[in-house]
Amino acid sequence: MRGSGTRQVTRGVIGVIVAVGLWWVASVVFVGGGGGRIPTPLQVVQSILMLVTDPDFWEATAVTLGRGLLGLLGALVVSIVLALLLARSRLANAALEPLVSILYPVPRIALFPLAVIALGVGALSQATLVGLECVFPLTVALYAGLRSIDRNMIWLARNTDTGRLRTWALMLRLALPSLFTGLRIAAPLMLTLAVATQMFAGSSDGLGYLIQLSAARIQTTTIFAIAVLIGVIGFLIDQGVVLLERLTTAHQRRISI
Amino acid sequence: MSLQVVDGQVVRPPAISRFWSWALVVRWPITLVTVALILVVWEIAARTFAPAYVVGPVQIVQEMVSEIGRLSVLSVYTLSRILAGFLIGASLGVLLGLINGAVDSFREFTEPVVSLTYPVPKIALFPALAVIMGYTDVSRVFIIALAAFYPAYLAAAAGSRFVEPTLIQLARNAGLGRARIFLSVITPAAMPRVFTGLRISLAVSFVLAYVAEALGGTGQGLGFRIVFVAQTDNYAPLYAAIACFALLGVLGDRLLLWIGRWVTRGQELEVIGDAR
Repeated sequence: MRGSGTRQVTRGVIGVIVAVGLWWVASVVFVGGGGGRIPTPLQVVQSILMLVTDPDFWEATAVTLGRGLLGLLGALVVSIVLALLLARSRLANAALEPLVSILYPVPRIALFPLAVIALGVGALSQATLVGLECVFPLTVALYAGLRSIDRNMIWLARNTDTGRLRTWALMLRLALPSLFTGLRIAAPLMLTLAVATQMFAGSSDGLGYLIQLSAARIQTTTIFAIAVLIGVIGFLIDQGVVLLERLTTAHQRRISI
Repeated sequence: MSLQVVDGQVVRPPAISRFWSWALVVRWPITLVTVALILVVWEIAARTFAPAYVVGPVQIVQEMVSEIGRLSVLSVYTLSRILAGFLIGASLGVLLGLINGAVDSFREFTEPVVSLTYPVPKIALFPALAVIMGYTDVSRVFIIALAAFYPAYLAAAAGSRFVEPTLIQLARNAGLGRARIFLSVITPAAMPRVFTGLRISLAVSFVLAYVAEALGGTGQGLGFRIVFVAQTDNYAPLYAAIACFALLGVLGDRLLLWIGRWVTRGQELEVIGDAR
């Protein structure tokens, strides 16, 4: 690194100031086809301050996070089973691995109307979609982790007559850092999908609904503020996952690469 | 990867062809049987006990074939939005990302702005954009481009930042200028990571295209079609439209993967653990 620490910070601050300046100019100059304007940074900050003191916002956040976590939890269970199967059974691997890689790029959000028809508007269909989206990165990451486990560990387990269940538990422990890699990919997907599915017609609660409500009232500033706050929540969740990873994998850091 | 020399020429190790011969003999039949089993169970379920909204694969394919004209037209509309947004967002992302990774001062100016705006979900901004610009193709393409920008940018930045320093030193010693090093050394060396990012960008473009069509306004496209037929009791067209959109997503990803393999031939490309 050539630049000194302070120069780097100064440049970063200048960058942010320039970006905010450009945003401000755009919000004054630009008038959209719908006749609307981009809110100014100041308006968005004021709106954020209003939102964080509004109990309705926190209630909507709780609803969204609850559904997201429900979906993520389901995805976690499915992906643990799937990844163990893929890693331990040659038959299951031949049967399922091509399916996983072919289905990975399917834009699953288009399945949402079907989920609504099958499961109704609300928690179940929204959590299902979150789960569908999260299960792929989780499975792929965990499978990669399980495959990279030192073979000697598994042989050791086999030679010491360790039962099948305990071997699986051991493998999962060893692959924990990879599971966290998958979780860091899945967590933002969880948040985005939980919000997005609540934006569609019929939804009546959560942050996505709050966004659509604001759109109907032409409160673009509120939408920007909610989006920023979702970003902050996403950042905090990511930090939480990192912290959880540190706590649970402290004993094996720098072993699994 | 270890390389072999045969008749004075460097060749890839034979492990790959041996793997493929094994894969063709043992793995493919198992995969096919699995897929066939799933389809048969699905079909039987659809014809017997499953509720009316479960449509079997045979009927879906029949519907897709009979609706091929309409679905093709709608696909062109949706794909052109996706392509426009993806090309704008991803090319800007790759360009700025490559510069960001290669030039320290540029990175110092832009990094905080990117890390502050990256976690903001772009989908959540779309309703605001729709209020400001209306439910138009401008706002749809804009939101797709915005969402496609970040994965491409981050991957390109990582790719160009972690280019093997020896390569750059070698180019410098050979007397190459900065522009030439950027174009002939850093850019090609960053390509494997760039394509990993591009595949994520394309996947995100599909998601945003669907949301931008499904949320409102009028127009032609698979997203509009899916939302419209979902309100009727006619389930086969719904499945056909969803299947068509899913198929396009998979084909687009494969196409990008092949292009990536061609561009990075000779380099190693992450194949598994890919996409997003």
